[in-house]
Amino acid sequence: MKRLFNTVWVGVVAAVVFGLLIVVASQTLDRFVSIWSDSPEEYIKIGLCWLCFLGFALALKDGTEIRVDLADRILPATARRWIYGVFDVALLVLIAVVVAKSWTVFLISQDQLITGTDLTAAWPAGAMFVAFVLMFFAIAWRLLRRLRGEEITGAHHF
Amino acid sequence: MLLTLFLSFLVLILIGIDVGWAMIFAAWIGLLVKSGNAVDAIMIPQSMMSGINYYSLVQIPLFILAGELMNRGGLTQRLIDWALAMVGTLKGSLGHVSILTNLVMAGVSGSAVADAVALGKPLIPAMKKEGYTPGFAGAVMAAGALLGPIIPPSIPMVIYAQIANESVAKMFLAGIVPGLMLSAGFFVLCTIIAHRRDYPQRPPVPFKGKVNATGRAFWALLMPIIILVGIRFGVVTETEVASSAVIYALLISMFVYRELKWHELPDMLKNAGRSSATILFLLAAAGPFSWLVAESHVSEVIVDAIKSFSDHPTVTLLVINVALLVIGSLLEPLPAMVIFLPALLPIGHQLGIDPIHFGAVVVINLMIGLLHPPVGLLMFVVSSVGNLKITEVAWETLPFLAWCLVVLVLIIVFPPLTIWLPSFVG
Repeated sequence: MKRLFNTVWVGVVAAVVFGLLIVVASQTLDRFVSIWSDSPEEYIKIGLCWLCFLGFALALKDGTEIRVDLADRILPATARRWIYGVFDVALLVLIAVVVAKSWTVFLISQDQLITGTDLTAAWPAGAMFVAFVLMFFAIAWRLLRRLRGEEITGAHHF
Repeated sequence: MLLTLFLSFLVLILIGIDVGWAMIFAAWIGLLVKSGNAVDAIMIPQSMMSGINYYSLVQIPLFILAGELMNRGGLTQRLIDWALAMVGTLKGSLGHVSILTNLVMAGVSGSAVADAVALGKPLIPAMKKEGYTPGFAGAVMAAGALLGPIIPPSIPMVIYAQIANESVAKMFLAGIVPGLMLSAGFFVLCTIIAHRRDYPQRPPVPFKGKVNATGRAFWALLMPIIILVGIRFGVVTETEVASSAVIYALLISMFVYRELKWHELPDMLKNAGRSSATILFLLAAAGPFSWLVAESHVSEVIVDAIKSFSDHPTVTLLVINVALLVIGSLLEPLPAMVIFLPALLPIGHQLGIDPIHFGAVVVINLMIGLLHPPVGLLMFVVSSVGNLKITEVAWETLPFLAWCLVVLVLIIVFPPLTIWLPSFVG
């Protein structure tokens, strides 16, 4: 079950990237052969929203988010475990607030049509809600692992 | 409120919290302690969505995917072989190869760290094996990778263009001359250091060998040219060029070099998606943070403080750059741009500084931060890839860092170095 869920999650992220590639490439063709009656730019923005939030939730789960790993080199392991543990608890509170607020945004945006498409603004807003729920569980799982005494590090820099 | 915002942000990133979450967390604290009318926390998700609601940001996942394809499809390896054939006979040839390969890769990927990882893996161990000091091996790789976000295409340039509402194509072209100046200086530095330390050189490659290496790398070498020509002559728009780069790399990898298999594609799409999402999330997270910065009217305070030094555009730009060098030594370039550009752009506008020139200077300045402590990410990356000591790499980076500063001053004082090429685009 866990494996299936993970495969679907990864599959959606990969599919969004592929979809973005196809839509952007089709815009070049659209100059010669009429492909789009709607606005592809708006579909791309919706895709970016899904990629951003769902992809980041995946990065958070895999521990590849962007962070400065100076503390990993300076602080002792026990201090790190305490600091990150406390922050994870605070983060869970913050994410719970954002989940509640993004649900409100989702409900409001169901009545707002995106110009140039037949879709409502609930489509991008939904991405945020779904991703924050996933992030809540990813952080809760990370906290649980910390409480078990596991050392969790990993940084991805750009 | 503003002090709380920045202090909490700084503390959070220094203890190693993810930069995006640190910004959201600091913004949340800022909202709670904000004086005056209370602001509902619904502002957080709303401004996060606004932060990424830009069409041109689609270039970020596409250029990252193009880089992935180049690495796995054999294009990068052929570029290394070509550079070895071309400059292998120079003293300290692997240093020159690092710079030359990075220069060509910069014309495709746009991400410094992606280039440092892709080229560092084969070249740093090779340099160590041939007797180069480990610190130099890391430093030359880090300096070469710095060219990635300066030579087009460049992710930071896309982000600047988005924030400043400028043409991405013009921003891309503005990076070419400074990028070439940097690489020329890096070449000279490599030569001087190699002669002083008597670093080895490869046996000469006959003319036929050079022709063969060029032939093998021909399709890879053509890629940056196609991108530049595409942008310059408007064959494709600056956003569409990203998809063209992906399709080109895919076709070459699969049907010409035949090193990429269909079953590898999903994994590459996933990696590109996850990497680009971490960048996009930064932009989204900067939404509530920037909103609070704007709400505090700090930009007016910064404008007044900077203008109190001088009203002369060049002097003001120099003052801004000193401030940016300090910021760049504490923050990663992308968050630094997202946080401070809204405050700095009006200054350039008020003093009549060309926004393209201003953008090129800001991007190059912040990229220099990648090369020096405490947040010199390229140093961390090459140290990790090559198993090197950071202190050794930091020490050996100093000459390259000095040349970067010289180029920065030159482009500040001589604006045509950045705005001449973009002037050809309508």
